[in-house]
Amino acid sequence: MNAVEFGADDVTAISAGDDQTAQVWNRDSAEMVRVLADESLTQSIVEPGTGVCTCDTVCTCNTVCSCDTVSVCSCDTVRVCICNTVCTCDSQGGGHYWYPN
Amino acid sequence: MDSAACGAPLLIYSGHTGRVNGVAFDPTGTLVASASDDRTVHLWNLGGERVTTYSWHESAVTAVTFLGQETVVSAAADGEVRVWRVDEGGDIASYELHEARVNDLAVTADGGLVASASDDASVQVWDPLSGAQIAKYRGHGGV
Repeated sequence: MNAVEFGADDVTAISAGDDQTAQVWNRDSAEMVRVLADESLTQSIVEPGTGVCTCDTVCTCNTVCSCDTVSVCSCDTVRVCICNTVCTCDSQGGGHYWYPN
Repeated sequence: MDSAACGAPLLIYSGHTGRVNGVAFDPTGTLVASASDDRTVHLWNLGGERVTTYSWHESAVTAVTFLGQETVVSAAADGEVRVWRVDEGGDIASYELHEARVNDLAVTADGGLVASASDDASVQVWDPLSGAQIAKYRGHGGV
């Protein structure tokens, strides 16, 4: 990770990585809240419909994988990838992220 | 037009012998901290005078920030983070939080928590007094 900053709301933090995204996450639980990325970038790296993801790419659940080794992932309740498991969530189709609220 | 308005430097702080990786103002705006590849953190006043040099890190100092008026947090290329007092220049604590270079530090508004971002693909949120980890975030596809 290259940079980090706390939000003024005492709830969130934001980080910047070499994957060309900024990610907003819950400061205390470390759960991802939102991925901020250039739309053209997300279109180019999402491969919908396979039901699996590798950890250097984007899960077909339309979330960013959070692990650092190649594996198959599933998604938790907010559709953040869980590594080394079989994908259990439905592909959302298309080339877009699904952003949990 | 004054020199600040036209972008000219008001002061040049010179004293490090390596690349300067980070700088921070204290909350009152009267002290500046600078972190360098020369393994030191320098504290300067606004007159450009060096107040103290902190040289306890064993590798390049990559980030620095103030924790209130009296305490500084600095991080290094070996993954270590140190918390120390401005007036004494001595350690309050040192924590080996990361397995790789720490690139950035952030402090909550109340000074109660620190976040550190590292090349080990994680951000850790921790208590600067105890070193206790509050959260560990591993996003960005592991990078």
